[in-house]
Amino acid sequence: MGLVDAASVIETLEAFEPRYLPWLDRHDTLAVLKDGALPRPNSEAWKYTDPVPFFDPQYDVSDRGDTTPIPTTPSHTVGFESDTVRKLVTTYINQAVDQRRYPLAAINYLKIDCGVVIHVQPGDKTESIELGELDGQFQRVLVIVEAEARLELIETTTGSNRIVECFVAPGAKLRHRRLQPPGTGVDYNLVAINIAENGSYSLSQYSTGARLRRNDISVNILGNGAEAELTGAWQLNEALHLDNQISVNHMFAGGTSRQHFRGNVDDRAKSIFNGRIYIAPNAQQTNATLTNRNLVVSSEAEVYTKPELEIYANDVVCSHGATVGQLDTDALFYFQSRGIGEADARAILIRGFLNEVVSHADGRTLLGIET
Amino acid sequence: MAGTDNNSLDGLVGRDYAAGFVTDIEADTLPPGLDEDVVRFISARKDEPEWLTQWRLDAYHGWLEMIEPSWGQVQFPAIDYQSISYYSAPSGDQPKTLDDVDPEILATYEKLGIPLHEQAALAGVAETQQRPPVAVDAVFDSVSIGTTFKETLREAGVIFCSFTEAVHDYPDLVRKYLGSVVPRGDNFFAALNSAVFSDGSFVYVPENTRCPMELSTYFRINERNTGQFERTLIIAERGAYVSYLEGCTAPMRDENQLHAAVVELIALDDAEIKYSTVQNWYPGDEDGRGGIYNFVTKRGACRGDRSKISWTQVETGSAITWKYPSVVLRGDDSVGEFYSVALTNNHQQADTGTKMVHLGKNTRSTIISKGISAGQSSNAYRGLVRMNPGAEKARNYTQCDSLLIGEKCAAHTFPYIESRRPDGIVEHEATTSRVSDDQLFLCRQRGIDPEKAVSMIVNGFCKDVFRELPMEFAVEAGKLLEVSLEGAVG
Repeated sequence: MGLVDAASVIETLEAFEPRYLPWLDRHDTLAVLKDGALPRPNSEAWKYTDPVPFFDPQYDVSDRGDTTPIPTTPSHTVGFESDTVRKLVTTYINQAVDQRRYPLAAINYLKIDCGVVIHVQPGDKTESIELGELDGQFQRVLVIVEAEARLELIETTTGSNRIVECFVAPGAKLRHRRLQPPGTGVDYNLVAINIAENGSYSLSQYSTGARLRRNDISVNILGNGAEAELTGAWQLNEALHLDNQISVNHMFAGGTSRQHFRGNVDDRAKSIFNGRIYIAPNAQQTNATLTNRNLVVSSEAEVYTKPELEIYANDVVCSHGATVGQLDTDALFYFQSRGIGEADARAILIRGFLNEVVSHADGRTLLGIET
Repeated sequence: MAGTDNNSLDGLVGRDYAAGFVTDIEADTLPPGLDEDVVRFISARKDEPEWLTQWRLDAYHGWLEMIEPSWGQVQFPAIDYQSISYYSAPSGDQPKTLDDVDPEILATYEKLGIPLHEQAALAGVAETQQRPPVAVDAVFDSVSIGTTFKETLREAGVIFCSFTEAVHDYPDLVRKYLGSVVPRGDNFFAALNSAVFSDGSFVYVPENTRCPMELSTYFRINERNTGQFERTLIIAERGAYVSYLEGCTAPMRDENQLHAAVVELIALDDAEIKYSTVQNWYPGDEDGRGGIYNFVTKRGACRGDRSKISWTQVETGSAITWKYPSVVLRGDDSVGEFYSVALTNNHQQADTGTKMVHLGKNTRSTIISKGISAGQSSNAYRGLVRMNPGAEKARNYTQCDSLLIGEKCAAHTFPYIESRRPDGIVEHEATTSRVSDDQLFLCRQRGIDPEKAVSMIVNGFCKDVFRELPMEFAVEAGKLLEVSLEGAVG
């Protein structure tokens, strides 16, 4: 793995003059980066993905799809510039993001060049918002779902450094669907979620890879009865690269989290998955599970997976499982004995494998597993 | 958690760590500090050939350049490597036979329940069939003080002796295999060990030989401010089989002592090595004072086709444990196994697990790890399963479970899976939970007191691992768990 030249990264950031949102206080963030937050040699978080291109000042993003206009509805506000959202931005931004742990999010904050605030008022249950590509390289999406409100967010992202920060208030529900079409460059994404008491967040993420694509997901369970359900499926081929790093942090007692991720890896593609369940001291009565299953269908594909548990409370039930395997030869034979060719049989089995965690038609289309 | 009768608990605390006594003997101990002269002194003291002295010095120079690893899920104040004495041996000449050994030392092993007299052990066989003879190599601080049943073993062609003897009597074997599994620059602690290792055991089992008895080494740290750096090398030739046991204890002291060992196993075609450890180094007191830092590198190489290496470990001692007995599966159809019970109580910390590196075709590995955390301890499983591109149809199954006893303990799991084979299968599953109230209730309802009930449940939890231990060890391991858990309930 390459070595990130911390001094030159800092130097570029110090020289950077923000034109967008000049009123944001960037001082502390720069201090965090200066204080050793940038990846060091042999950094555990960058064990299988080369960090250098991500921190390159000439950051090379994928060709983005067409920029889509942001839909406007009465209960949410667009853009970071307007005075009405300024208060929301200063109140919420970086509250769910651990900048020390996610230095690319810190860089995003320093260099932010476009953003959206979605603010769902208390009790509002009608929202469904589609969010496509934004017109910028360092994108920031702030989602605030107030008490007892509901929101379905459907997000498509291909190439950029995008941070999606969500706040789920007590009793609120956020359904989050993410679609990640193939990219040609270096993509970085962070989804950071704070869930309050009895709040519920669900993620359905459908991914393909990019030249280098990194998805960081950080979920903080901050109240009794808070729930997170994360599912994801990926289909990688050619020389695409996908690195999913997930951390579900149970900071409060009585939370529940379920994670289920499946991937199919073909050709020379490389799939990395790191799922962590962290249970803080006193986060008793926590129930947390994690499953990651991988199919490897080519002799040159690489799969790296690490489901982690880090537990500091005793009255908990946690489990995780990970598998790496291939298609069942008996099942393939069964299909062929009934006149279905090998290629079709493989496609059907792969579809069946991924379908366990795919519950949306657009997800199926993206992954190429329509029935 | 159910409450317990405190009076009965108090009575038990006294016998917490039965092996914690000190043997009062004269010892020649090097003053603390580490430099080239110390390395040369140890080598000269053992009358080693030039190549080995040079090997040590190379390791020492490599070590100077290395950085102490910090990735473990353990915390401890920085170790001052200049404050440790790197060599300590009972005074006087090296005993030639067990009869020459200081009676105080013999009494020590007697007290620890380790039979150092062949007659006694043999008599045991005559009386009951339960206790087959076990050949013992006893290592006291930096030296081996004696090895039993050497003659019986020699008749079978098996070499079992101290490392120092092996260097003199079988220099070719030592030179061929030393450092071939764990290179001297493998990691910080292995490099340190390579520079200053003082003794240890050497086993060579010739072709098509089944070692006629269990072999065992018993490690004892006695001197204050010393570290123990032993080296074990086991070679099983084609078609050979050997079962090797390892036990260890140390006195109770308020300061920490370092134990950095290296174990290398080599299995050639169709050979099998079974390596069992019951690790009971002094764990420190209930406030976390004292105890052994157990930083050990253990690795086996399945070099031959159809070879097998099996690690079984019961880890109840040490203030800090940092060890990952591993298997490199190079031979086709070779098998690696790792069975582990790691128990931490009070302020103990353990970061332990295994690595299974699949290189050959049809290689298989099984990992069963049971972690039990009690008190304010921290217990982490860290493992790696790697399927390299040549490991056609390789197979791994991993199960690691953690049991939590007490509100302030911690349990972690860090399993790395790296697969580069389309036809390899890797399965990993892990659970973490506490002793369930339902199970406890059921036991108590039947008149079993809470402490016994927890002990029973824990024993059941560890059953899969104990089953792999030689019988005597399994009994000892069960008892150790009971003792170590005392005071953890309530």
